[in-house]
Amino acid sequence: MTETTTAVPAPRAVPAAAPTGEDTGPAGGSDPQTPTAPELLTPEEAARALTDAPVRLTRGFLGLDPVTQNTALLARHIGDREIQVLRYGEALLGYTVNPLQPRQAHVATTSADPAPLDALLGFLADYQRATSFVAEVPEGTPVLPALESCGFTPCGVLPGHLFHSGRYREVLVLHTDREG
Amino acid sequence: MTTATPAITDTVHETPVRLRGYRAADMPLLTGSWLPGELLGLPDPGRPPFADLASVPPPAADRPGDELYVLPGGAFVRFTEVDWVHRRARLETGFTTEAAAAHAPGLLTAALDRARGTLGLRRVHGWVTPGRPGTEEVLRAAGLAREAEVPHALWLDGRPVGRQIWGMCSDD
Amino acid sequence: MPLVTLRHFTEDDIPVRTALLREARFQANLNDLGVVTSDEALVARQRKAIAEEHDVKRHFTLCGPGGAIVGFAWISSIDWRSQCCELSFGVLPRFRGAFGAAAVAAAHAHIRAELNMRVVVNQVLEHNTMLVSAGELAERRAVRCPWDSYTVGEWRTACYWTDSEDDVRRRQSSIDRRRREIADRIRSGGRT
Repeated sequence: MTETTTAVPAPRAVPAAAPTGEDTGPAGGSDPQTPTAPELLTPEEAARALTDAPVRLTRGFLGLDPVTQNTALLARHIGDREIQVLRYGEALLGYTVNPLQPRQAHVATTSADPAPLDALLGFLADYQRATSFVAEVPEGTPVLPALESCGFTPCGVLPGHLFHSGRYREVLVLHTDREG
Repeated sequence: MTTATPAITDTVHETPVRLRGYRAADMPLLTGSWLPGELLGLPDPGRPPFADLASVPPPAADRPGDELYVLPGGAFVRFTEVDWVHRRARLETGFTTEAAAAHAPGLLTAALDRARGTLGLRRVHGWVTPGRPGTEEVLRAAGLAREAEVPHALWLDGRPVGRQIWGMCSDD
Repeated sequence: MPLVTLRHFTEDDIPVRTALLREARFQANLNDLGVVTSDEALVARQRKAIAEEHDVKRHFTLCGPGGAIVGFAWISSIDWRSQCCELSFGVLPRFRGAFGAAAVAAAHAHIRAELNMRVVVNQVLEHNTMLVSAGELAERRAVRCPWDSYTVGEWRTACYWTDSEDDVRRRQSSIDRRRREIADRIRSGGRT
């Protein structure tokens, strides 16, 4: 993950779903390995963060693509689709609530480490009463281990759903439940 | 789905279904008792009277991506989430009456032909809520296949129900 | 590592591109819009393209090794349904000899591999031999259009042709083959 630009406004912290009982220091505090609070980003901040992150982690993040979408277009999609993007340590997390089933959220992560995603699921369960989670990821994604460790199981494959780097690719659809 | 939902009858049509572009006078076709976002939005006579009707927005300058067609007097066909780079769109339809619903097989074929032939799309996909007898046969006959089963994707009749994603890809 | 890479055009790049729009050869070879347009209007047009006009045009910045800007590419007349667009280039004067061909290749590669474009329309004014020699222009053009544009006091003839993926691949193979022949000749000549 690259450093954030200096132009972003002060982050707005949301209640932390900290994995263990660490002290609640400021976001991005002294130990980058165990962040204490996910930091909600504005659409513009999220667009910049997704653009700066490695493309192999961000292509297909909740349907976004920093390779073909510049920051303005990413920010517009993030706003229009009501996607919430959070920074959690080195990872970017995203979710959007299913408007037809408010207890279900589509989620995304840029980390192969399950801890950030687990924190997001816990946060959504605690504060959005979410009980059902869906993820759609491009075939070959490096973040699949994080999803599997958090209990996601495959529920389908969308053939030819994406065109990346010269060919059409599948999207894997995964799901997990968490009882509130 | 309620138990009173009638099955789709497999009618043979003498004349192909003709779609045309949406006009302002077609607005009443955009609201009805089908399930929201459904690929085959057949009317559900068992919907409770206080349940919100499903509705799709008419074309507007701030939503340039959608393509909206109608079967005059009977149904709409909407391609939304159109992505030209990936050359795909999500299809949803809505039939205002049971009589219109009899045209479902022909309308689906016409819609997919429009997607491929006119819009140049390679892939079409959509949401299908299981429970209506005959739906799968109509979808398969049109060339669609079930691709995913997503649990708890729709709140219906007091509980979350699963939904399927059906789709098709043309070869280039 | 390719010689030239491509990224999105950003607001930070606007001053460099604006200067290029006003450079003499650019004006003669592409258009002289930069002369008759104010600074504010030129900046505003580019800002609008970055922020809003993604459906009708896309701008890219071409970078050399180390990330230095070597030029710009943009696509216009985008026909998404037909997967067809027009591709234009402007290379900064000091990089013109060294990076021109690599810049063209990088832009073509990106719009095909990531934007799923299949046919690229090229328009080159006949007097402009910066990226394509006069002989190659005559060989490649499908349409020759006199009185096409008026730049810097003269009417210009334009040459138009399309490139499919096969055309690009065939041309690249022939370039690679010529390079190998030259290399072989040098090697065998060196042994005498």
